[in-house]
Amino acid sequence: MWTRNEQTICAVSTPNGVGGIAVIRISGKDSLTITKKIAKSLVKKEIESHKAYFCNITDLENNKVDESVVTYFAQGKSFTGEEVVEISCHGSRFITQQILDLLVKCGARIADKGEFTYRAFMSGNLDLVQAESVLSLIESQNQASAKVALRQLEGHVSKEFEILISDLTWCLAHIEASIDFIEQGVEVVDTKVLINKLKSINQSLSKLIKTYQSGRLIKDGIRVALIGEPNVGKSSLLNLLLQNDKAIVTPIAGTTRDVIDGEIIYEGVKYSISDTAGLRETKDHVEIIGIDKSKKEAEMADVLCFVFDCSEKDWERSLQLATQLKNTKKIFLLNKTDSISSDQHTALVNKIKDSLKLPNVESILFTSALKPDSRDQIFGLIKNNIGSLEYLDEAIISSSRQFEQAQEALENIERSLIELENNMGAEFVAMYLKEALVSLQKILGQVYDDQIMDRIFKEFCLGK
Amino acid sequence: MSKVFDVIVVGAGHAGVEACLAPARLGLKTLLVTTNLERIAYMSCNPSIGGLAKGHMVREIDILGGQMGIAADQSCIQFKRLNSSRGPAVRGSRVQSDKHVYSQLQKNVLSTQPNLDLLEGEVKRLILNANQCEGVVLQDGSEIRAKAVIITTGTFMNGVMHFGLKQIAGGRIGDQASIGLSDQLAEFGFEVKRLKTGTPARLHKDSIDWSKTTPEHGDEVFYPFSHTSEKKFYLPQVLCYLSHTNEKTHDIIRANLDKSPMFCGVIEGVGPRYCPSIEDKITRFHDRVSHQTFLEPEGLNTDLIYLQGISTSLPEEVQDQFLKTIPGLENVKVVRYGYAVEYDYVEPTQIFHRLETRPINNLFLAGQINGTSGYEEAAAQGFIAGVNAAHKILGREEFILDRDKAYAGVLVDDLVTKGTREPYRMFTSRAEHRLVLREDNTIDRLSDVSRKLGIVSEKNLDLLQKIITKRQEMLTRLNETSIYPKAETNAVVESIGSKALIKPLKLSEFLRRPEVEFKSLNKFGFEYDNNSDVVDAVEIEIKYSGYIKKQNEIIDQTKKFELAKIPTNLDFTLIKGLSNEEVDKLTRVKPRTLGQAQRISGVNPSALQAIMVYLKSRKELNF
Repeated sequence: MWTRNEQTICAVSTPNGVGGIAVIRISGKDSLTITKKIAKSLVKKEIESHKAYFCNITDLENNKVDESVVTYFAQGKSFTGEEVVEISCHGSRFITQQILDLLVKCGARIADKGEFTYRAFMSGNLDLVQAESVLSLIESQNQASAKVALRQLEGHVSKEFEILISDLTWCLAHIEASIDFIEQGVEVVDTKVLINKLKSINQSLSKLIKTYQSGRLIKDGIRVALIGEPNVGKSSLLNLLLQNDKAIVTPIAGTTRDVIDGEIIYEGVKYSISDTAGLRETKDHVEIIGIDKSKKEAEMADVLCFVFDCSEKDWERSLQLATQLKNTKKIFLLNKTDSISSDQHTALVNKIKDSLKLPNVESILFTSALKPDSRDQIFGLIKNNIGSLEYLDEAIISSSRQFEQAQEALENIERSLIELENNMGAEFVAMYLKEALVSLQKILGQVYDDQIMDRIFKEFCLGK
Repeated sequence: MSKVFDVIVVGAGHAGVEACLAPARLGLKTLLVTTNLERIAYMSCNPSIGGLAKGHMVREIDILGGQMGIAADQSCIQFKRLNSSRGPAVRGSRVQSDKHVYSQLQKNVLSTQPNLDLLEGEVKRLILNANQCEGVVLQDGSEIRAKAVIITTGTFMNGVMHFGLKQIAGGRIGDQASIGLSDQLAEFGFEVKRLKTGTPARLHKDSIDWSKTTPEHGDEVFYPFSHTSEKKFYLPQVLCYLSHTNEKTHDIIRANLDKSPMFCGVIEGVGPRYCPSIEDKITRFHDRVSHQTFLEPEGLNTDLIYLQGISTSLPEEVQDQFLKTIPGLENVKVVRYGYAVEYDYVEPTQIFHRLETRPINNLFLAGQINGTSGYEEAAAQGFIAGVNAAHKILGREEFILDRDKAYAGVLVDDLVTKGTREPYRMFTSRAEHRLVLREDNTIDRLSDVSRKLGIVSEKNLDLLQKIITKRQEMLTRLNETSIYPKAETNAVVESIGSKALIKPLKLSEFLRRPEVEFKSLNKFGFEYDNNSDVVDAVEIEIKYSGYIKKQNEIIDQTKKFELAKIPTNLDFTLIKGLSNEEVDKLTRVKPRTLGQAQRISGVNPSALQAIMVYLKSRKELNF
């Protein structure tokens, strides 16, 4: 994969497309030498780290290409740890391409996918969690996920893991001492103390693992599925939530046959909302496939929105489905509320509450695609049901890799606790704790694992 | 005596004995040179062999053809299996030896060993031809030539003994230091550094009031180290006695710390943290009001008592004072005072796994010269160096034990990979695959290796093979025999305190129940030959099978790194992404595999990635 490490690399670091300004990043030992070939006014200057220099970019025949600002970062003082130059030029695709071509002619090469971050990790400037957060940060499309990624990049998550690693090492050291120093009459830490310490490590670890739930939601968005009988107004609600006309709305039942979905950022959080085919008995082959797909989509959703038509009497199929689907987060939207009088509301609410044995009516909402405030109310209800976004200000893990390894560590510590509580040999306790420690160290990249490296750095996009 | 040999071994300590026996037994003309033929395999410090992890190594080299186990068994005057309440991997056998018997036994073995000559003398220099070692020069200037030289000089190289602030040149009481050799190595460019070790006072047994101490018995069941020994004690067994220091002892020591060479900076060498002097102990663990000490007889026919745990380099009068505060020692007569020794060692990252030095060909180092501590660590290295010297001469492949095969392999790999700054002692925690490196499975681990080496006789190896076969047969039978939930069976099951069966159960599964012991299996009609060599190992293999399986899985996961070879001529400066420190360390250690590179401290995971990428790009790595 990374076969050309010794070379100087370059790439446009700002997003694709036309912007006011684009930044071209160059990293490697020849960064400045190469830059000077196309920014000749820099040749005679004493270039200092972390200073910006205004200059003209010219091609090899001395024709002016652009005016730009060049910022220099000395080796050891940059993101990648290498000598880095950033050229801020005008954001035209034509200009950036021209500059890149020039840089390549002068000896740089276009960076591989994720190579800047890779180099930053290699230089020890970033641990693996931080390297992953760069990816999340780049990919974040909303405020919440950017915030989470930024906290990871700042090292908040790494710090949590470092504390756990240090505590676990303490436990392991004491267990090892109890085995190896039996002859020296060393005072060994009490098993109860050890058990308590390990339990408290596991508590912190579980807490961290739980943040993955919201970490994932924040990073990938909250998946909401609208589900219900045909023609209850799911598509209208989808359009209302997405604020566009994605779904075709007709009065004809069974109009939506495939799953239609869209994404929207609402108050800084991403939602993926899917409208599903209405659930009904049908012989239409296409519609049957659509209904099957609906059920699958429903099972994957973070929040299920059951939509009922207030004017309809027959809710049996929907209610039955609401009991069948195992999703924990369900909300109930009583749609077309304008079609009934307000004193009928209570009866409908009770009908749902009673048939689904709900503890309260907090998950039930009257909606109407015709009322604009329904949108805020629906999002509000979804958010309340998700609940876990409350972690937003804490260290959150958002990568499945971190989650899996933290989970593995947790299981090994639990296993070691069983061994301890059953008074099994300290060497067995130690084996599980060591495994747990390795998992935690792998999260930060403190232990080498070729597969993890590949997995992480393959996900990166060009130039980041 | 011919003046040309295949192998010359310098030093006749625990490393030297094994280092000269191995090549002689492989048929090579071998010479042992020592300054004092009366002190072959002398126990300079504690009169015991074995212990956790150390005992494992004694068994390992015994299966391979070493001598230490036999001498330990035959000189044993107290036997203990340490950690016997814990799991089987961390149990270690230890004998207390009659140190004179031990030394005599080893001397007899050397004297009667064919192909081996013994010579009293001091080696002053190596004969070097460029970077080839071709022999040694003695103090009288005479030269002896050899194809390989193994240095096992222990604490003798530039040895200085400290009694308080008084210093005497020497590697051990009654013996001279060897001067010259380490200077020559340093001149050649070796990194030679200082270490320190210490020993406690020896007391006269008649001056001790034994009634104030607690007697400690040894075990009744003897598990000999050697596969050739009988399972009975060769010598009468004795007691050891336990006593403790107290606040008074500590006060005296504290008040005299300025007379301790360690504490006023006279000694520069680094001492072992795990075997601290009493001065160290009371300084480092200042809130402890008492430290234990064992009073151990040094033999059956000696008046000397070894005072375990109280090594010191305080002046003699201070030793007299503080010893008298220990219960039982109120009127003690000290025969020999404790002292510290400082000596030269060669930073062991300068040697290969085969224990040959990198800078000088045909020169091998073993024992304390490589920075280790302990008789067992020395013997294991002596054996490995001896075999490798012989193999080199015979044109055979180098003899290296993997980390998942033997503690001796862990020892060597740790030394050459990490180096050491303090005297290196083996611990079970140094072996990452501890659960498969047990005393009971030593023969399973190493008898094939031993057959290839060819030191142990075919006849003995066949006997070992028989044990292995019996173990396997018994395992198979236990896996194939079941007991059934019949009333009479369940009555027996309940009578041994276990829960009644509700479905048929294989005997191996039944045995996995913690409360079920092997010996109760005969109540279910399982007939077996009650040979502890077979039964113990099978029981462990079954009872702990879950853990052992997990350990083997972990080994498998890391195996690919151990198998990923790094070319010996690799120039690490060409690899982008390595820090200068990493390049230095990698260049110095020259790891054989990615696995070894990973163990070098200060070499980060990112460096591993860089090396792998580099090798892959050159198609020099199958990974």
